[in-house]
Amino acid sequence: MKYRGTTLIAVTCGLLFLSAAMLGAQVKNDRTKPYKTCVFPTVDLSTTEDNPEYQQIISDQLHEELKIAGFDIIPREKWDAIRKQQGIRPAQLYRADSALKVAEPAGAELAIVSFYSIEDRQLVLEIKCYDAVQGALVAGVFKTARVNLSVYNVIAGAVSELIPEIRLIGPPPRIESPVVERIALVSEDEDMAIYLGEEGYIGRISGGKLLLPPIPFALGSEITVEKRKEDYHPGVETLKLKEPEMLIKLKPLRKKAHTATELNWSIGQLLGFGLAQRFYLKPDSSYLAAEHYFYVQHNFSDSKPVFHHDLRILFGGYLFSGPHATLRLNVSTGFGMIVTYFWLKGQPVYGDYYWDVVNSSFEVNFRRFILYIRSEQKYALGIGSDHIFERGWISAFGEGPSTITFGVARKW
Amino acid sequence: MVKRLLQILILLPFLLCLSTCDLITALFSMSPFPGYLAQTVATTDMKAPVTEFLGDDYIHWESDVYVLRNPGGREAVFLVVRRDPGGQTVYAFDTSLNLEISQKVDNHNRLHLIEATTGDFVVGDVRFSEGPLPEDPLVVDSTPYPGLGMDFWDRQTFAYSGRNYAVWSSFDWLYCDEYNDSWVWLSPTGGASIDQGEERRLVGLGYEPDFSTYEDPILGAGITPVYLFVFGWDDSGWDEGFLYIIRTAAGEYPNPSYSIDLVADGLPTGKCSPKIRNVEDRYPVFYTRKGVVASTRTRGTFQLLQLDGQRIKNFYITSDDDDETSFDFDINGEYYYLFNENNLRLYKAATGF
Repeated sequence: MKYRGTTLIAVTCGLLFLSAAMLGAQVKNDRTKPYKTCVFPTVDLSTTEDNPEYQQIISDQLHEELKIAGFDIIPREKWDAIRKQQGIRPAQLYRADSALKVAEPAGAELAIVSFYSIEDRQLVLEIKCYDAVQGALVAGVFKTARVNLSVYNVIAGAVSELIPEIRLIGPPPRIESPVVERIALVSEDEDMAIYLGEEGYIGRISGGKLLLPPIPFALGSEITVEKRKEDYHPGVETLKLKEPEMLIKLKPLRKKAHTATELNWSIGQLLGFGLAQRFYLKPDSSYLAAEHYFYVQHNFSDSKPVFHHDLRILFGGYLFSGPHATLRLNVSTGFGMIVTYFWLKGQPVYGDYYWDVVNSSFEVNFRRFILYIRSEQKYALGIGSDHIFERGWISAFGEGPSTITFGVARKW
Repeated sequence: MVKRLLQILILLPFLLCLSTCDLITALFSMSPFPGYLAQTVATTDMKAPVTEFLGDDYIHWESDVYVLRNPGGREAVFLVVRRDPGGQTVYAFDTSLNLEISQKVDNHNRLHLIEATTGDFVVGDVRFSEGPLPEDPLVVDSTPYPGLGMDFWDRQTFAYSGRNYAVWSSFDWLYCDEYNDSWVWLSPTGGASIDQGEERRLVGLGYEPDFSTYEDPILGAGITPVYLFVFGWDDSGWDEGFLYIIRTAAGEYPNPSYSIDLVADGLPTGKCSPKIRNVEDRYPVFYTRKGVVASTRTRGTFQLLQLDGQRIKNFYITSDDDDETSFDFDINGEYYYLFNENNLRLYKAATGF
């Protein structure tokens, strides 16, 4: 039986696997009598059928090494009859439940299962040893290697690592907590790579899901997966393993924004609107922005409108939180000029240069949009031949911030 | 989610509009720019004449704007630029801001009124007469006027029945000097208590010559009103300024006929308004026939008040400091005239009252 998406899956699971092997208590064993052991054939979990030969190679080597190490190997004929009786297919014998159903009636104290997969000439090998009486995991070993002649050394190494672990076992402890049998990750981010731990690549989302290898995580435990996809911000997610079979929907990744277009509205400039374009120097982090706010000044009585064009260049960035955060604090600074002209004839065109000292905004960060409220502090420079503001703070409120701006930005 | 938030954002102003249109109007007319820019109906650039007058060797200069209307209904706008050291120049404009004439004098004087007998415009030490035809520009009488050699900087003045009056305050007392039409001092200084034991300041005076049309219902028919605008600080610890509007009769000066004081006597009869709060004394208080204009504590925002102190509306003129801007209202309350000392432009702006 072939599993799609189980390619190279247990790369970093080795550590987790070994820690899960806590069930095989590390207690000094004085036993001299050899363990009666069922060694089941190695199962190929590759998505292709290009490398079946390793099934036999690994099986034979495992069998031989255990025999040399003094384990009492139960002949295949004996357990195979029971397997048939139980209706269990050979390809299922890498799973604990299947293996134990066969091993225990066969009089075995230990059941050793193994499986591998080969994807892109990368071998992932896992060997596990169960206490057949208690149904507990005793030890496990996990290896990865390129498929070449060194594969044989890798297999030998895996077996030689496993045997001392088995020898250390004392009276098998009771299993206090069951393990998770199967974990499937579901995501809308197709082709997203999933990593476990610091370096453990375990596969990619394909067809909307990824089936994790049968790693015996304890039920109730938590695992942390890292998600990576090209042109998306990597994400980390901690998953609580509550059920023996878990279907977990991963949160979508945030696409890296390289530009954003803003539409905004400022108090004190309500008869108009602003358009701005952000150019991110670092996606969703720091940016340069060009903004144009056009507004009309009118008092709704016997009034002639006055027109203002506020043009500015800003440099800004985010503090304290990353691109996945829902609430973000943004600060920016820059320079600008307000061009003013009148409906009334015979008036000069004014140009007021200013330093946009600091703008601070709180942003609600959605996947494609940003909603924000921004406080702006502008300082008029009072330079140029025709200007309205003398040097000093500009404020629509008489005192305090220059304005409060509400806006929405579309990320691209 | 985003769509819904955007809908709310767009609908919010309209929903608010249904409930409070005043609020929306105020909100939408807010601007970091001076409010008078949007109310301007005419301007004139005074850069050349003012810079020529000021020259280079001065320490400080300031300006005042006055709008006066004579009994014949002619209205004129005066810009006074004073330099220190040095004298002052009075520029006279028609109401379309055409400069008619200007006159430089050697000393400073803030006197401004309609002359008691001739109806001439008196600003500073200069008397402006009308030409033979109504459309003729004003003519300057080069004789210094009134020749008292004093600056009325702390006094409010009005002319009534051939007499000139100068009124001012000190602590809790209102003082008044009476002059004849040649500015000869007529009688000992008169006056009245404003508000016994309390420091009060006269910050403006409204004189209504047309008592038949604009009869004051409390003073009664045939009485020419003189409205006193008296400022005080509250003792509540918040340093909040307040204002009294006190109605007096022009014919009673120099000694308004109040038995105790203007506030104590005026409050029960309605001649004195209740305390009007939220007032600043950054600018003078102005009388117009549409109401009294006083500065609020919100910088740049003014309030239009009824004579009984009821607020009619707030409006925004400018957040400039008073040493950057000077202005005055015409008596009809239709326009105000503002001089911006930064760009040296004189503006005529509609009040919208």
